[in-house]
Amino acid sequence: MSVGKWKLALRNLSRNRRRNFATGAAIATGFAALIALGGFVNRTENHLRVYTVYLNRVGHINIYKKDGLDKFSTKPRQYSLDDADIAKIKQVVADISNIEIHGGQLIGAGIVGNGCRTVPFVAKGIDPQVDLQLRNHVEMRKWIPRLRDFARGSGLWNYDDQLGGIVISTGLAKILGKTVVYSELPKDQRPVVVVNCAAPDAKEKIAADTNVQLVAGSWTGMMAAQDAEVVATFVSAIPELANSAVEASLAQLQRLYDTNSVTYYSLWLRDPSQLKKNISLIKERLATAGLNVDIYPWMNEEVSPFYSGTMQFVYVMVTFISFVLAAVVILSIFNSATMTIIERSQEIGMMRSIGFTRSQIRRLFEMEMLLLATFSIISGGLVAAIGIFLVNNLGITYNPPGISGGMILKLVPNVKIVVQSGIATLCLALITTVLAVRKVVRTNIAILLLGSQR
Amino acid sequence: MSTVTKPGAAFVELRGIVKNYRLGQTVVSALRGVSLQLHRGEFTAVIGASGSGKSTLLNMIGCIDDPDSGSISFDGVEVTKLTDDAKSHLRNQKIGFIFQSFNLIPVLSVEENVELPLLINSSISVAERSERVASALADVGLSAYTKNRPDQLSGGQRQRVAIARALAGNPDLVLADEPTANLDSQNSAKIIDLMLELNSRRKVTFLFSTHDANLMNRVSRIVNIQDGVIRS
Repeated sequence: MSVGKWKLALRNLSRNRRRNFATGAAIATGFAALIALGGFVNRTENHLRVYTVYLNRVGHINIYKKDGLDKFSTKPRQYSLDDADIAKIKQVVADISNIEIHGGQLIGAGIVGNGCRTVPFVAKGIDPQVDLQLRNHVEMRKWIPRLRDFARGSGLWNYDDQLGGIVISTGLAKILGKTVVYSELPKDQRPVVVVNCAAPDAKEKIAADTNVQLVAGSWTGMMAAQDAEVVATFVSAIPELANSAVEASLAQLQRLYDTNSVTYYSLWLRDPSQLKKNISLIKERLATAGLNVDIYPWMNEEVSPFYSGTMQFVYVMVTFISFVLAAVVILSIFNSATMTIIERSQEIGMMRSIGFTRSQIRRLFEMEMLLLATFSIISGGLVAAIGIFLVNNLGITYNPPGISGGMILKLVPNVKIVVQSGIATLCLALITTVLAVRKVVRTNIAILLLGSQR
Repeated sequence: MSTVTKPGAAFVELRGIVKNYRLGQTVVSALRGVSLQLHRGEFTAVIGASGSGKSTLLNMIGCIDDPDSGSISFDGVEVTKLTDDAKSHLRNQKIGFIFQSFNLIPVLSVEENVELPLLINSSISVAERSERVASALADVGLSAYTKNRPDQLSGGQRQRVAIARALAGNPDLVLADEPTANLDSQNSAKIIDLMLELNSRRKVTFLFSTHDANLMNRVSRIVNIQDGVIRS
């Protein structure tokens, strides 16, 4: 028989179903929207993080010569890591079990030609075996499966270094008129010689060949040139590099620039949550080893300007939308709670007169809101699940600023996002109720019994 | 200052109670130095015209409003000095309220409405709650309606439920603010009969306000209030 306070709260919810439904719908919609927003941010963040760390090969930890990040481009010899530095770094990181992959990378620029036309390039050199590990990394498979594949051809690890294979962006391949990659050439292909670039068949000849020439100023001050074969093409997600990106083996690029040095040395971690701890340890060990270096985490604004800029934009946008959402939910709850309180002021007066304390009355309303919010959150969760399933299966492509080729809209919330959104929604509902009820519990009981509250 | 005193130890004692209400720029004096003693087991009616201060007087005794000046002792306790929570506790443990408009919770059944004041009394077990509710409903003759909702009852029956709710906590004092005002004469008489019977059987002190002249000759004591002053 016992009515119980929860039962009373539950019964009270059935009193004005339409109003409670509207309030519940606002809470459910707010919660579903928070999950969807969280899912959007989570997916965008992971997409960009994995793109940056693994595909763009900005390691979790990047070791530069002191001031190398700023000054390498103007004084590469002075601000690069030489053999001795690399050896010390390898020695220091050898027994750190959290380091999964490591390797040096060389950045360079020059011009690339097809015999008839030359254009500037920006090249990145890395050990092909390191590249293979990065491209096959589980994070790549999970977050950017589409981008990890080459547009044509296969990776440098499939070719002997003597071939001089390079991977170029699709935009650069188009400019150079290269429509095939090395593996697609006939076995008996002979070197193509284009004597007259104005000849009607010149374009066709260039297209049928994978050979290009890389020309750059070596670090010793000489002009250097190399033949290279296009073994693959890729879609660069960064517009600035879409028409100029070249990827080569570290050894090949070192030959071009006539050096054994690297621009920086990158470390990829098994557990990125240990990043700060690992940086401290490495910094301490490198200092002990007498190495004068700068260490940058992957999300540093200078190291990953694209990631940092894009995520800052996303966070600002999502924070703004969250505030709007919260305002809508707060106003809906406040309106509903105020209406309910006005309607039930005489009843509240009766309850106070038979002995309910102010806090007991407040708790009763909080319990009602807790029940309503819980039902609404469960409903909102179901709505969000259905909505996210539909969105993810529609294959909607959108073009966020700074990403060429567009992104497929996917919402990927995780348990943390759902729990945080649920707690935030619940707290919002309860705080709003407390604010709405605060006045009535302080109102004189005699006034409440008259059926009004001032 | 008006005083009505009866010999013997007072159970409730009001001394020089003044209560003013401010309505915009106007100050309305609801009680002007009222002193009154109530004794255990009394069945008292407060009579007077509308606006004479009857309800305010009951509110003061029931600790649901505070006087501007004066003091109220309830069973030896000076209630004007109590905290809000202590007053709530006092109301729950010692006072039962009956309202003109019944004030039942529509989503609760008859027995659940009666149980309400017991729900916040942690010293009462669930079993004892059930016993008290059953006993109170039996006393008002509504044992057959325990599962009904208030909207399934007549006005007279609803007021009986309110009386049962007031009695369920075994109060020392029941305050009824115009309990028959919303009832027809037949039901009014029945409610008065019931309160008299409970007063006699349970020895509960009753104080109720009314301006129904037909009821005045049924009570043992009448307190007449006019313009915030007790006349007799």
